[in-house]
Amino acid sequence: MTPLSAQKRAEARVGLMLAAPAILLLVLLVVLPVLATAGFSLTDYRLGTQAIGFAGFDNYAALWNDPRFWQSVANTATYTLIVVPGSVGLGLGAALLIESRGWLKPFYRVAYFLPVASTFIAMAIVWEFLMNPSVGLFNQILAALGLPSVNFLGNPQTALYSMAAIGIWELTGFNMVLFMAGLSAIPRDLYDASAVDGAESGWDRFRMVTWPMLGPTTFFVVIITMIRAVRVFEVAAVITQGRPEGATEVLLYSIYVQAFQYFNIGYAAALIVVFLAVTALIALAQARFGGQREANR
Amino acid sequence: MKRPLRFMLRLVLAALFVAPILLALAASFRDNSDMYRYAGSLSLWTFLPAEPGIDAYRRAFTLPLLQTQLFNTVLLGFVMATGTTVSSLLAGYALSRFRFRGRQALFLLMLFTLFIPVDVILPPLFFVVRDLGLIDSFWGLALPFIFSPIGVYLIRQAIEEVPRELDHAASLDGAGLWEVLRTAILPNIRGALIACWLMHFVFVWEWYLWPLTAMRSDDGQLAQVAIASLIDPLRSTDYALVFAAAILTILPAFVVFAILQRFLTSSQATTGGK
Amino acid sequence: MHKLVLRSVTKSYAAGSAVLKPFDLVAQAGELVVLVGPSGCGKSTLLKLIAGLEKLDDGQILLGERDITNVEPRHRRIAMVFQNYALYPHLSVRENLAYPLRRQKLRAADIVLKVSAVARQLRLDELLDRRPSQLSGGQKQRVAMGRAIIREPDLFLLDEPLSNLDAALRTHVRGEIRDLQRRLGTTMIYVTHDQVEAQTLADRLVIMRNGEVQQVGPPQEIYERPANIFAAAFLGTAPPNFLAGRIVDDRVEIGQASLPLADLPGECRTALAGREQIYVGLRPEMLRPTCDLDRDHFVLRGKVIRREIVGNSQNVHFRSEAGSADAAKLSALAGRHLSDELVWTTERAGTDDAVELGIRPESILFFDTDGVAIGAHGSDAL
Ligand SMILES: Nc1ncnc2c1ncn2[C@@H]1O[C@H](COP(=O)(O)OP(=O)(O)OP(=O)(O)O)[C@@H](O)[C@H]1O
Ligand SMILES: [Mg+2]
Repeated sequence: MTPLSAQKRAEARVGLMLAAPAILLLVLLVVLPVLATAGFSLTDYRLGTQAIGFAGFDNYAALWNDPRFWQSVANTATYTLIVVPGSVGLGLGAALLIESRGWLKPFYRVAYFLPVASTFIAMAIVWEFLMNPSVGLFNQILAALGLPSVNFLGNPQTALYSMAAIGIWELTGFNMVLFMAGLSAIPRDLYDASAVDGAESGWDRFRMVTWPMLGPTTFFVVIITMIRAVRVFEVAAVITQGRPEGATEVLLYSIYVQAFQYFNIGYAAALIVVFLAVTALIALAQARFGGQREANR
Repeated sequence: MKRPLRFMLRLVLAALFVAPILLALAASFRDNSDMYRYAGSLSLWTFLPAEPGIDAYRRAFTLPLLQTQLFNTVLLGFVMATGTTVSSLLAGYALSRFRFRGRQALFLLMLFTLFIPVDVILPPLFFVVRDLGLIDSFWGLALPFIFSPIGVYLIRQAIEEVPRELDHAASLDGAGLWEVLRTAILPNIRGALIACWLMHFVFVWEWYLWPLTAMRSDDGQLAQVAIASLIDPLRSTDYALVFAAAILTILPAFVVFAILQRFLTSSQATTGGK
Repeated sequence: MHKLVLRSVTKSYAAGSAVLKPFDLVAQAGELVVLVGPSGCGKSTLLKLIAGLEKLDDGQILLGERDITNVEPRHRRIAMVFQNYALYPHLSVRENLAYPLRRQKLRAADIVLKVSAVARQLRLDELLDRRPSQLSGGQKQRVAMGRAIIREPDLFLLDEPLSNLDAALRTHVRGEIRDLQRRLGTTMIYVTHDQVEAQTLADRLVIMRNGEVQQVGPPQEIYERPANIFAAAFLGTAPPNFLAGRIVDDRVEIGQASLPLADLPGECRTALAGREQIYVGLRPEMLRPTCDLDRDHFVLRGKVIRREIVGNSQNVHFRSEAGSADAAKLSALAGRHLSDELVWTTERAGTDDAVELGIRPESILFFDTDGVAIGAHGSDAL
């Protein structure tokens, strides 16, 4: 190693200074809480009590043996696996559909975006109305078509999927907006070039230019959709409370119930640690995949 | 695809997405007794209020705290959006343009936290905020979200797209660090900055769990959380009021988005090279 | 006018691989020094070090009386023109020109005056309100020049400023840059790939390879007396024909052809004496049909393979039994691919399928087996 010159040190100092707020916040808001959580997960701490005792891996053992925990893991995974492809695919589709449509573009953009800004609580009620087994609009339509009625959110078979449908509705618009920004950054000449290279159909153009060029955007969209999907909470909290039969019991809801209703901090912490471990695994897989994609560009 | 087909598809898809909100909008003009009357069978009045009235909005405005709570949401939106954008800009600039020890590690950590939904670590965050004495305060609400890995990622990516020669030209032309950032980089990442800002602005509207736990005083509460508490399973709920209040809550986000959306697709920076 | 001195400057991006070996360079006050060298040899890196955009590992940089080694770029009083021009895309031409002056906090009225003076000088008056994206390549180039000259720097750095222009425009702008530099009298370091550009512009030429100077000197001198095979191959429309030869008794033998040492200039003769293996370089444009030459002992015979017509001259490619068997080694020494074909550049129209060519003995370039010139070393002191 050559000794750092004065200039390099100055550059490093400024760089650190600029990054300092981010580093500070990162430590305060992510690193510390995660470490604290890991610590709490080894205790029997309950909010409101003074005593705090070391519990070893008791919490984890309890988790392991708790069927509700496994159910909420499975539910969250299923939900995420439906919502991420669904809302990313629909968002991309919508962006492609709207793209290059002159004067109506802002209108469409706002239309898709509204669900993002809609206060979810009110929307939850709307969805509850829509999916109501007796008076809901969907069942009215099913009845008009001569089909049997479905208790969308009340039936353990359909509750999670209904929740996923709501999730897709909520997340698609935002993804579309991000995809539109990505699409507008693709240089026009690439399409001309692909035409010269023999791309004829719209599908060819998509495959040869749009999709590869959207790589980084897609990576980003998938990540943030995933984050927003795994923390699904509101429907469970407001409409179903995890019912029926735990069909809509999702991880964040379990954490919330354990931590802020039963004040079972140790147990909740163990839940969080498991949750983070799973996201970490997904993150690694994603980063590899996304990293490769970027390298191949 | 044939053009008319495309057009229909676009319209139908867009309609599906706004439908629930339009239904909420329609319901907010209903009377509570009207709410279930036409629900039994499909008719035009299933969708539209038979006798539209603005009673629900009147009631919403007489709610003692709704206006304050609405203001809280909007103010928090502005603070969060601006705060995250500024901190992301600084960090993105540092990560993209400066070499310092730990830069790589910081970037990796950042990428990793990108995957951690903040809501999940709310219990420990609750302790952090509590120990800082910020529970039940505006800043306590804001703190856990003011750092945004998404924002850093977005802005770093945008700065990477700005050719380094532009910084170089500027610093040879006599610009210091801040001037390089302000006069050479900022104008060329406007799209990303606005996207970042807008994104974090509307994210506040999605908040529910955190304000529910960290804010227990009613006049500091956010509108969307307060509205949820209007729904009382034990008593009959004033649904028209809930919808009216919800529409009022959506309105500011809607306006801000409608104004800023056209910047979201502003094209990328070029050097003026070929 | 300011003199630029680099003293054993070193730079590496990654530990272990030096981009610049200890590098020394002097540009006299008011001089136009051209840096040439193959891609990746460190030309841009060198300019960035001079400008302060990259930090050097070791060494010293002096500009005029000042030691600027640790001065921030903005205080170095150096202007740079980038290959892609690096115009501020969000600013109009007027604002682009004014940018350096604004950073100096000049009064608005003075800025307007200077901008219009420079705009007039570079014929940019009509374009002042356009954005860079609305300009042609040549116009962008002029704006970039304008932004460089407007604050009257002590030193100009130009990094391949013409490579994005078409050939005709390049010749034209080249002349303009030369005139401008003469008129302003500002010291200039100019980087290019193009050897014609290098020869026409340079007061002195610096030939670089792998972060090291190969030769420094006026273009004509380097052309006539290249310090090594690399420098010889770099200047000239086509690289010389390199042939392997031997010294036998008092003659140079190349294949069948041979030449008495007595015919060579004195210094060359003494330097060659006592060697065995050598390489010779014969510039294609120095070859003459034997019938045109009176006294000529060195003759190449060959069969024409193909001809390229370039304007009023043509390159005749031919193969000769004297052709070098060492193409691989010579290519390595020259830093470019050399085939075993020989080339003759001539202005004659019709040529036969068999050629018989000779060269004046004093035009022959001699190199040892390491590629270093024998006898005539063109390098001047640094
Ligand atoms: N920022 C950097 N980080 C790492 N290596 C670099 C960096 N910039 C340049 N290099 C390496 O340093 C060497 C010299 O690069 P430089 O750009 O100076 O070459 P150059 O002579 O200007 O080439 P060209 O004629 O193609 O512009 C190259 O091998 C290049 O890969
Ligand atoms: Mg270069």
